[in-house]
Amino acid sequence: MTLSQAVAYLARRNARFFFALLAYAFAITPLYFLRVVHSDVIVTSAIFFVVVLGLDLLYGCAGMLSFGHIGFFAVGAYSVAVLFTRFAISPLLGALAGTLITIALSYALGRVCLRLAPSYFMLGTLAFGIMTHSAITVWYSVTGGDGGLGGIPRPIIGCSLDTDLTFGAFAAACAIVLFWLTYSLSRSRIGRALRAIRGDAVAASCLGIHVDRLKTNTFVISACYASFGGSLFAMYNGAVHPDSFSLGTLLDLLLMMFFGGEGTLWGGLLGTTIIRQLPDIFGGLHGGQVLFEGIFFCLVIFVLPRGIAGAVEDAVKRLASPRTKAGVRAASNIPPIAARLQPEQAPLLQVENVARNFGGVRAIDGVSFAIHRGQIKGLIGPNGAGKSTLLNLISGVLAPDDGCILLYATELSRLRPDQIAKLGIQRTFQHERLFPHLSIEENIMVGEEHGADGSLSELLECALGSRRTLTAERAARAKTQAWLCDLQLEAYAGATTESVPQGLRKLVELARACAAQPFLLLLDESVAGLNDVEKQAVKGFIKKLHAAGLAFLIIEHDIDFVMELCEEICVISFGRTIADGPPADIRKNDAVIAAYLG
Amino acid sequence: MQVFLQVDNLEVSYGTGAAVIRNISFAVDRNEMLAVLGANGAGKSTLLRAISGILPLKAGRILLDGADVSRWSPNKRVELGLIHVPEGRQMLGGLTVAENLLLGAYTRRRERRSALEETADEIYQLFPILKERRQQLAGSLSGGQQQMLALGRALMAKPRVLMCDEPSLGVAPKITDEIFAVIGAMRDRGIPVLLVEQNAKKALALADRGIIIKRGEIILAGPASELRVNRNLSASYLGV
Repeated sequence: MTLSQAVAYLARRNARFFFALLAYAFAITPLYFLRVVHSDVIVTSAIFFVVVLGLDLLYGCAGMLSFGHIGFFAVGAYSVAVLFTRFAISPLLGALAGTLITIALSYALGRVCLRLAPSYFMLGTLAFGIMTHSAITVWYSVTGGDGGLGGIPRPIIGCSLDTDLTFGAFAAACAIVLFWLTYSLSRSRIGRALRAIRGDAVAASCLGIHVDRLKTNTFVISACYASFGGSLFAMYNGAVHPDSFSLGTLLDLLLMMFFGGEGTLWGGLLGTTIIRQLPDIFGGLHGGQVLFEGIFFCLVIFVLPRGIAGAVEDAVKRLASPRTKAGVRAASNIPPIAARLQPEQAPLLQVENVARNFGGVRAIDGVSFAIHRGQIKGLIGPNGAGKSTLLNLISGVLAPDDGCILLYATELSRLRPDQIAKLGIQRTFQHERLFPHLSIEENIMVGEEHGADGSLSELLECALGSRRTLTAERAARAKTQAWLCDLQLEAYAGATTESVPQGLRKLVELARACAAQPFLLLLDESVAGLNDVEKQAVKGFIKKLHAAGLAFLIIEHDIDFVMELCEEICVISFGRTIADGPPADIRKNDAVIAAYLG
Repeated sequence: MQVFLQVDNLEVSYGTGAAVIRNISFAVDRNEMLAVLGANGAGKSTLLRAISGILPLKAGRILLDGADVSRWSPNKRVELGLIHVPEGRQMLGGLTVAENLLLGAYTRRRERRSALEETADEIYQLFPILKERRQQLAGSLSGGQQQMLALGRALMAKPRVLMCDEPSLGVAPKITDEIFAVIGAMRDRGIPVLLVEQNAKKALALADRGIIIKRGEIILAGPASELRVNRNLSASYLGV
């Protein structure tokens, strides 16, 4: 890739970023010179935009709504104020200190609160926000209590930032840099991983995404945005007061995000500016101001449920002609799997005496079987026999109460789903679990990219958009097209998951699992809901993968499908194995006929 | 006398997009089962959703027992006895099996409790596993068991028209036969049945008539016995 190509690719990939900034600059400049919008609004908008970016990264991508950011905002502001007034430490170092304190606090808070269900996560973080507000209000000796702290100078970077124009330029520069980083991050594999978690954390985990770590790190980064915004806020105002960090401000921040359009990032530009401008618009109403603002919000949210930016994006999507990729048939990219396998004679996967209880019900009661390398094994049995539970145990979604599951010599039963996925086991689900916040193409890319570690270095690399990540992304996109072609789904590449017919969604899930290049694939009723010809196509696809060396465990109720495809079939009923052997024997087995075939 | 369920020139689209189904017309009388066949994405589920009122019509009308219900809300259509068993179970996972069944009889809320329990007992006889699990949360049932519950819940309403969207999805072969037998029995009781099914062979063996939809339009219609032996069937139905 030459430099000019790289620049062109970056510009195309980030069109939304450049367009949003340019449009905003063009709109705001005349308004400023016409004195409709004051400089104060523009500077504070830039500052709040930093905070909203963090909130939107956390909620718009990962689906976690934090009410604790008002606390981190206060930590950033008070670090600057306290360190300067007590120790005469420069505001920029104060901001750095605030960020470090925030990292420690948010990491601790995240480890606790991220274990909770979303609604309790909100409550937990809200408690933190309220506690911070109380602390700064009563801790007179350090924070000055409800008298606040004043006399904070603006930082000196080359020149003094004393005027609103210079400080505004500084704040805007910070905001643009953070906007760029956040935008790159949200468009990268990490962004896809976060949206995957928002849609379905279990499926995300089964594709190799380290859900806990990624969520914690995202929370910490998002908190740092709030803290840095707070530091800028303290420098700009020259003083801090507990009132600026009350629940009212939290509400403003949330409104900025939802009003602008969650999940779009650039919506924050609009949200912050409009909300900062509102007092000027409704100021003449005095007492009625809050009421009218409230009515205004209700109307906007009612008419534009995805915020202003969301509405714009929807409109653009509707206007743009749907991408039809007819005729684009990428070559099949089934990789040789056998080459990556250890040349051992031992079984690939060994399930030994596995048991699992749900409350008092023994769903799996000592099941044992083995899958050899490159083998297609069927798993059949009556409804409720425990087939899907067994798949959950192998893929790590559930832990067995007893027994062990070995992949060669590796014990799987104590590993997380993402670790098992990384070892080379992929699965589909009985009721398809696609990620609704990602397009069909992006769903498969999550598999292609082998999930995400969620480590800080990975986040940083994606935010900076290193050449390696960009090249990898383009490769993944190309391969995705080939997988779609293999399953005759290429027409749906850019489609949303809900626009794909139910039966075909399971095929997308199959492609997503295959894209992760496993050597053992667990299929849970992948052809249920397909007609005969569609089933034949899937059969052909499975045979091709099998020829490349992939092993399968297939749960299916279409008995002809199973009999033709599988080399061995294991039959379970009421959590126990009742038969295991080649298809011909199974068909004749009396116990199987009584329990299942009828 | 008019037929029980009549659909005239139905056209439906999602949002402002292109029509997903067009010019769909058919009628189903009492004692009759109509199989709706077609490839994935042909518009079968959309058709059922439009008839039950979840999707608005762009054009056409739906007559139920002579009344034009095209503009009625879904709940009003259910009150009239138009029951839809949606694809992919759609259980109320937080309620027990028994509560799910009772909720199915919501339209019969003025009847005595004993009458509802009688119907529930009939359903428990059809699917003994549901009786065994009746105090368990529906969400804890296996996929196939949930499918049985979905059908049972629909039967609780004493439907006057039954629409089933892939009732055999994820169900063991033995139970599939039972489910088809139950649906057949409903038809024999005089209830018009609309059956969407991927298993064309089984559906046509059971149904009286069939329609085949391709890209949103009916391309073939006729008695099931004729469709079964139609040479063009596999080619057209499968969308080749």
